[in-house]
Amino acid sequence: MEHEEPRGLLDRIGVLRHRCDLDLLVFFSRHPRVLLTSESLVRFLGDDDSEIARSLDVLLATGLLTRTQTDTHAARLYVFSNEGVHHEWLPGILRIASTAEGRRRLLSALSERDDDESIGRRQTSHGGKPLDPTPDR
Amino acid sequence: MPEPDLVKTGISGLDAILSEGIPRGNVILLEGAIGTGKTTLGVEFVYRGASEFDEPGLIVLFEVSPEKLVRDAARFGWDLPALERENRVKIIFTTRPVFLQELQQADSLLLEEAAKMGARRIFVDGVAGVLGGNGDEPREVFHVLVEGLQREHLTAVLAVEASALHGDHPVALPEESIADTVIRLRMEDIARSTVRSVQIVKSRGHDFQMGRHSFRIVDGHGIQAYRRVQAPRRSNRDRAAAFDPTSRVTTGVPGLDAIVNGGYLLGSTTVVAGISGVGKSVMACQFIAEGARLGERSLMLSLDEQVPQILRNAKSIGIDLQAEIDRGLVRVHYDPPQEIEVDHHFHEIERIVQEFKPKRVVFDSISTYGSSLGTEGRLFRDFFHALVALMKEHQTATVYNHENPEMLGMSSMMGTFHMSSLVDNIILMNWVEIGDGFRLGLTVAKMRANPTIRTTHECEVVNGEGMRILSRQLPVGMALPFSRYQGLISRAPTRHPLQRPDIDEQK
Repeated sequence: MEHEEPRGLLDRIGVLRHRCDLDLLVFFSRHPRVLLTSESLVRFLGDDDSEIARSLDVLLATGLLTRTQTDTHAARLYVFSNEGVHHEWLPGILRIASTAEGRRRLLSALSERDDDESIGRRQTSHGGKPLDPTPDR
Repeated sequence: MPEPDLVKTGISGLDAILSEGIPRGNVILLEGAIGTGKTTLGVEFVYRGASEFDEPGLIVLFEVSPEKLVRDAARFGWDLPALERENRVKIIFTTRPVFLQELQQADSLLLEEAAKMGARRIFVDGVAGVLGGNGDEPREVFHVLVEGLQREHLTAVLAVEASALHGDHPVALPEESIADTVIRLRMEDIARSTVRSVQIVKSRGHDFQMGRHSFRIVDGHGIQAYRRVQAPRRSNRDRAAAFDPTSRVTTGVPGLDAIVNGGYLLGSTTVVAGISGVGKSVMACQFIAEGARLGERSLMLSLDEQVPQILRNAKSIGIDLQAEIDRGLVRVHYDPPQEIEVDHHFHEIERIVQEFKPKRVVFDSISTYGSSLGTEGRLFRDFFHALVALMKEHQTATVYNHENPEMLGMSSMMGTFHMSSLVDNIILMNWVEIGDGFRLGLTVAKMRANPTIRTTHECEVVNGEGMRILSRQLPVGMALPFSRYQGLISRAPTRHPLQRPDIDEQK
């Protein structure tokens, strides 16, 4: 698993599907205990709020991230921890994402997988007939 | 009067400056320009609390990423992740508006986290932007912040960047009047070097050492503060500031004990002054070796020569210092004279003396301190004063070699070094030009509380043997003894007329 390719790793993890999922995972791994409003989170990540809300739900579902829910507070306390959930893939993905080159490879693998899944969906909607990947000229 | 409940910082040297700690619950404003060490000090305050005093703590960050803070802390050997896993430290990353808002709320999430872990300490790194960041009056905002922290009875260190503190003209921050304790960190340019200093500007509820004390940030350890040498010391130092009038240590120089009343008194301060090459270091080696011969621990502190060279020189006069070092009777400590940080240097000497407990100490040479610290102004004199007091407290017989620039004769005992009043004994060594050669003279110029015979004695350094004092009366080979001359240290010695009755008596 030391040198697992990003695509293989992402396929195995399954839960990380979008760039924002990855960016949020890396952000919380670097800031394991943050007290922030959703507006500040949007500013830190530079993505739109709906994407961030969706990615937050993804991370919360993995159990890696917990969040306080208090109506009277604009800010929420997010705590990121691998303890108790033991996602063995986490160190590997964080190691790859720790370099600019690694992050590019992960984003490229996410995009590639997204494309593959789009093709798969289109195949399904065309009765299972393979689509010609070459665009019409 | 009840004993104050003091929070020890655990930071090396700082608690001594703070007179054992800071009153619990104090809000501490930690001021300093960029790079002065505010974050390191604040993090160490929380780290030491959690790891040494069973006082969990929070670290609140606005700009520094927790990942980098953890990495930098590891450089000092502080395992913050381990303390986080044990719930003894929590590092919270937030923004200033959120932080301020949180502290104003009765059910603050931040303070709830503090309460859950039983936090007793908090460090907030960079509160400057919090204060007046929303256009509010900084003093009011700070007041709100302090109220919030005091609800949880936290002893808080709040780091604030104060760029105006780089230099000698600090501008008071408005929050200083509200804070209970104000600690100011500085980087001071001294010639081409930079020295860090820490100053306790105020601290409510306890005593502390005033003035600027030096500190260093040391890999593998953290902050090490050194009380300024001028700061008042323990009262037992004053009580011990006298020599023992009954116990003497022999000098190790044949013939010298007879002219210094049998040796130097314990607790006394002796300066041996003379130009380079007259044999001051040789005498020093003999003094140290004599101690070792008698089973007394002896310490040599050198600024001029490195240890291997001292060992080699000692060997040339038949002294095996290395063997005595191996026996644990001699310690030779070298500190390079370039850019001496005087507080740190003094601290190191104090540590060695306390640990090694020598009976004899030699400084070779005090003139090098003068070159490093400058003999004008108070720094050198205060430093020397502190050294003398330290050695008297430990009742060591201490010899300071001093390089007097005059080659022939001597018109001043200490030159520009205004310290002769602090010294108990002064031995002058100088070249005497007689005929076409130089001969070496030794004069005891001062022996406090002792009879002093201020005649000049001839001495010589013999290869493989060291220095010895020659008889004043017996001829030296073909040459007349010193007793036949007058004006030996006034640059123009002349022979006594033979008919003088005192000379005839000596004959």
